Amino acid sequence: MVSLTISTIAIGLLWAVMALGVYITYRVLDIADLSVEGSFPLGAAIAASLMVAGYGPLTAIIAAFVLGALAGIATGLLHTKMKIPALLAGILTMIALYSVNLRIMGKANIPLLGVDTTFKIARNLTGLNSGECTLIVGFVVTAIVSLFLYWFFGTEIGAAVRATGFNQQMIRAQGVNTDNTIILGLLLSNGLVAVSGALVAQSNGFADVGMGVGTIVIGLASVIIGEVLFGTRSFANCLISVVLGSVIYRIVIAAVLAMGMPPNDLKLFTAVLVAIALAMPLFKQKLSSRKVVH
Amino acid sequence: MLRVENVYKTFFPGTINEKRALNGLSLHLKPGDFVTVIGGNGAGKSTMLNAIAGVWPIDAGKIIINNVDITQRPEHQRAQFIGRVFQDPMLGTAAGMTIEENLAIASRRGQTPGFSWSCSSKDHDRFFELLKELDLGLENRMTAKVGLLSGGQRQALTLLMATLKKPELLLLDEHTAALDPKTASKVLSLTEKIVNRDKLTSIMITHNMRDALRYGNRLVMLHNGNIIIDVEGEQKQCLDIPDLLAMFEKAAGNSLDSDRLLLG
Repeated sequence: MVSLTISTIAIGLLWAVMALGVYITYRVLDIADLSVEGSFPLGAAIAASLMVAGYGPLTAIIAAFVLGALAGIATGLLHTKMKIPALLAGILTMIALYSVNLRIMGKANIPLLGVDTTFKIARNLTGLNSGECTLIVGFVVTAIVSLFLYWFFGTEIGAAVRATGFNQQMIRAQGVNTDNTIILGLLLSNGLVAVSGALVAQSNGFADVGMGVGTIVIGLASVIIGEVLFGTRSFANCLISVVLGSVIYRIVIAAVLAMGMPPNDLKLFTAVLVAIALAMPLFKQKLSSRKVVH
Repeated sequence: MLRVENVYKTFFPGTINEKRALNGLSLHLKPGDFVTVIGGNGAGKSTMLNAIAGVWPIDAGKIIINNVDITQRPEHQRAQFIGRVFQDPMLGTAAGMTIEENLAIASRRGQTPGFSWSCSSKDHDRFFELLKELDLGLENRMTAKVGLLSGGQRQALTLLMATLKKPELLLLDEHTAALDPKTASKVLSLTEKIVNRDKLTSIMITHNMRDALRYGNRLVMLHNGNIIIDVEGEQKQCLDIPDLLAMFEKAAGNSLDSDRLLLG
C-alpha cells in the first residue's frame, strides 16, 4: 500500500510538469490551448525514438522540450499572425501533431523494454525500488521547472507575458509586442508539456500515439484542484498549488480505481470532476447569497 | 512636436455601416501644448487619438512626432513616444498584477524587456514617493492587486504610469468620464499638476465644456472628422460656454445637438 502511494505521488509529479505547462496558457495567458494534446505524445514519441536509437535520457528530454516548443510556436503563429482563434489554432496543431507523432515513431507504439531510461539509471545508481526512483526524479524535475518558472515570470519579459494575459491593450500601450509574448508563453508551455510526455513515457515503459487524449482536461483538473485546495495568494503559491493539484488528482484516480471503478470510465470521471471544479465559484456564490437571504 | 497631416480613416468601408471617422484631419502641436478636445458623439475625437496611438492603420495622411514619421509603425513601437490613459479604468492597468508590478512595467515603457528582475528595490522607494504624492493611500498598498482598486484609484495609477517615464506626448481619452464627479475633479487636477510639472505635450478629450475651457492652453472642437474650432492662449481664456456654442453654429452651420456636451 505504501509503495503504491509512493508511486502514485511520483506519477503525479511527472504529470505536474505538464500541469505547469497548462497553467502557463490557461491562467497566465488566459488561453485554453489544446495543442498540449499533441505535444504531450510528441515529447513521448521523440524521447522514445531517440532512446531506442541509443541516445541518453537527457538528450531525449531536451529534444522533447525543443520539439514541444516548436509545436507551441506553431500554435502561436496560427493565433497571432493568422488571427485564428486560440482554441481553433490549438486544435489545428493538435491534429497536425497526430501525423507528426506517427512519422517520428514510425508506428503507433514504441516499447522501452531493455532501454536505459532515466528511472532505470537512477535505480542502478541508488539501489532504490522503481517507485522511489520515480519519486526522486519527479521531485527533482518538478522543483527545477517550478524554480525556473518562478524566476522567469519575475523578470521583465515574464512580467510582460503575465500582463499580456491580463490586459493586452495595457501592455501594448507600454510598448510590448503582444504577438511575441503570446508565442513565448505557448512555446514555454508546450515545451514543458512535451518534457512531461517524455518522462511519463519512460515511466510507463512505452510511448503511444494515443497517450495524449485528455491531456488538457487532466491539466485543467490539476490546476483547478490545486487552486481550490491550496490557494492562489502569490505566484509562488500558485505554482506549488498546481504541482500539489497534479499529485492529488493522481491520488483521487488511484482511489476510485481501487474502489472498483472500471478504468475505461476514467476519462468520463475526469471530465465530470473538472466540470464540477470549474463550476465551484458559481456554487460558492449561490450558497453564500442564499445565506444572506435567510 | 506632433504633426497630424491630412489623415483619413473610414470604418467598415464598402458596407452599410460605412463611417468616415476622420476626414482629412490636420493638427499641429507645439512642445508643451496642452490641448483640450471637445465634440459631439461620433465627431472623431477618440478616433483621432487612436490614429495617433496606432491602434489601427490610417487610410491616408501622415503622423509625425519630433520629426519621426510614425505613420507605418505598429502600436507597440509608438509607445516609446506616447503615454496613454483610457476612458475605461480597466484598460490602463493589469488587474491581476500588483501596483508595484504595474509601475515597474510602466517605468520601462517603450524598452525591450530583458531578463533582469522586474521589480527592483531601487524602484520600490521611488514608486513609494510617487504614490504618496497621489494622496490616495496607495503607497501602503504596493503589493495589492490593482483589481482591488476603485475606478478613480485605477485612473490615478494609470495616469502615474503613463507619465512615469516622461512621454513626448500624453493622450488622455475622456479619462474621467467613467468616474463620479468628485473623483473626476481630483483626477483632473492631478492631471493638470503632472502636465504642468513635467511640461508635457498633451491632448485631452473631454465631454465637459467647462473642463475644456478651464484646462490647457488650447482648445479644438471636432465635427464630422475634422477640426472646426481651434483657439489658444488669451483668446481661449476669454471664451465662455455661450461663445463656444456660437462659434460652433457659425463653423458647422447648424446648432449643437449633443445634450451631453452642453450639460456636462
